[in-house]
Amino acid sequence: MARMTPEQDALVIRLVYDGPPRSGKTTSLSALAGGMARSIFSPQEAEGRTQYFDWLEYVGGSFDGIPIRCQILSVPGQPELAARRRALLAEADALVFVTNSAAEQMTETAEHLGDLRSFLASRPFPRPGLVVQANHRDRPDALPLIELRGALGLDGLALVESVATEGQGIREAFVLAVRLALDRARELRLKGALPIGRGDTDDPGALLARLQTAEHEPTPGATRIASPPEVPLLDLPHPAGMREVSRTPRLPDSSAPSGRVWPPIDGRMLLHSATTPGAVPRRGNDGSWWLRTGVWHFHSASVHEFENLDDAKKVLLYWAQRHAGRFERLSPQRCLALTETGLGTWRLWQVVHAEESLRQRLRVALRESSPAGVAMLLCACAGWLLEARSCFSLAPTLPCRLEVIGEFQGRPAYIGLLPPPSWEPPAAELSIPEVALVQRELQPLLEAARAARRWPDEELLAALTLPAGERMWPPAVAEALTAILATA
Amino acid sequence: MATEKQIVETIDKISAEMSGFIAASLVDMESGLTLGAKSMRSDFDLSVASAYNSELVKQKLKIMRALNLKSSLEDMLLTLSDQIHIIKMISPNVFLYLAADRDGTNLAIIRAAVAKHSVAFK
Repeated sequence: MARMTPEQDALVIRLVYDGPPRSGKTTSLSALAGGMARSIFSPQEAEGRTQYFDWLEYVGGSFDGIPIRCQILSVPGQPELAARRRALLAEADALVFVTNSAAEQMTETAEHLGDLRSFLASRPFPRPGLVVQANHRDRPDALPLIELRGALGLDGLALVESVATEGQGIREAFVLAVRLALDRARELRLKGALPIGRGDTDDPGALLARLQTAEHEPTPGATRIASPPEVPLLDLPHPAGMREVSRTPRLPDSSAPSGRVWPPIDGRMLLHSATTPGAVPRRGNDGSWWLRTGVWHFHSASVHEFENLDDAKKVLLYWAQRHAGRFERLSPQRCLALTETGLGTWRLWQVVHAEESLRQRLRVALRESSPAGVAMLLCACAGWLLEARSCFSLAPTLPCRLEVIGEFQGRPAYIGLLPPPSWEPPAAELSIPEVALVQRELQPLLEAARAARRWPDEELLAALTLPAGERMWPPAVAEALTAILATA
Repeated sequence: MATEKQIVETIDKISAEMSGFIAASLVDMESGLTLGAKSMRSDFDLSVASAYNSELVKQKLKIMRALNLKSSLEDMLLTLSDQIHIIKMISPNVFLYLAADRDGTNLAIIRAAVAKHSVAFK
């Protein structure tokens, strides 16, 4: 856990290297130690395998003018030492997950990463950031990065390639992890929760002693991202105003200084994942700037350019507040970032991961699924649409259309860019009856499927008409869908 | 951004085009840590220099904001009695720090060598 030394002359942070057995955690630390001219302490190593931890300590860098004391640990990867591993993970300020790269190791790696992510999700805010270090990249059977990302579900996570035996990629992963740990330290300090004093495991001997006598630590309850401080709308600064821009603004990336990315830790990891070298945003007709990479959508409104950094930060806070207020109704992979334009101004960006909308999902099902499958999905989408309408209509409102709604863990979520504060839905939108809303959204899709004559309406109607005891959706849903099919 | 190996190779190329090279590092401004470094002198602690230089750059940027300057920082040149130090911004959050003996070189040569190769750091 990050803290200031008693004399407040250094910030102490702990980085933990996790990963499946024989992924290269210890080798990574050895390579790091070599570059730092430091040595590693590994208590009770057995047959070359870490039994407790590997410990490396390094003082360098700067946190607001004072040195950073990095305690860098790697954990044992053997399943039978899981309790020790968790005890070490619990005190991390940032983690580096070292993976194998070969296809036959993906299942074990995915399980290990899934366990780590579950553990992190249970940690209190601010949660430690995570860097994925894809190791063994020199092996002939190493998966291409895009396949590795898919196999491990790494969207939204920072990924660095490495060959630990040659020291390649080790430094990059380490520096990125330190940035994430500093983000965490700043969040703790903002909340008045950055401790000052000596830690009780500040040396490897004390840590070993504690591990040897410790009991399993209970997992604290998960907390959502805390809302940033409220910024009254009336106090918001005016933007720089429309101006002729002769140069394309820079896109945000993970090297952004602290305080310019929200959420601070997850947002930085997202930016590392979203950044495409050489990508250039385009100018919209409305003066906005945007970029779609196929997986990520970057957008900066025309009014989101500021001449003064303090003003820009106020607006960032305001937009962070808007996001935090709708946290449960938004798709999870999104962030806000402030960047220097290179013209002496700053620009606010929204970065959103492209998600499958209900409309896209229905289109595929209408092309490829059976009437029964289509019926199930139609009713589910109609149900999500109605659920979204009741959530999204709460102020401030969100558009309620199938193309901007996705499904996450069985619930609808808004997957588009957050609209500006000035956006209001049409008055009729708020009072449209449920049946009419479902008809409006689904009728075009059904008519397109009908035109393609995939199957007779009777088959779909039969699939929709189930005895009351078998229905899993509100009656209004089946009523609306039946009404759509009844119009010829 | 270049890998550590590529960073060191680029620093090697820069040092090969000038005499009096002492040390150089590519520095992450946010953390003050080096992304890659090379020093010809064991008594020139690049990690300490990089950390303090990151604070120097941050302070300079604060001064520019306080003065409401609309331009961006490109480089900083520091002339010591026996050394020349240059801080060259590679991106808004990464800079190259280079130190050289004054006797062995001059500012124009250093700037030319850095300008020629700095694109390789991106």
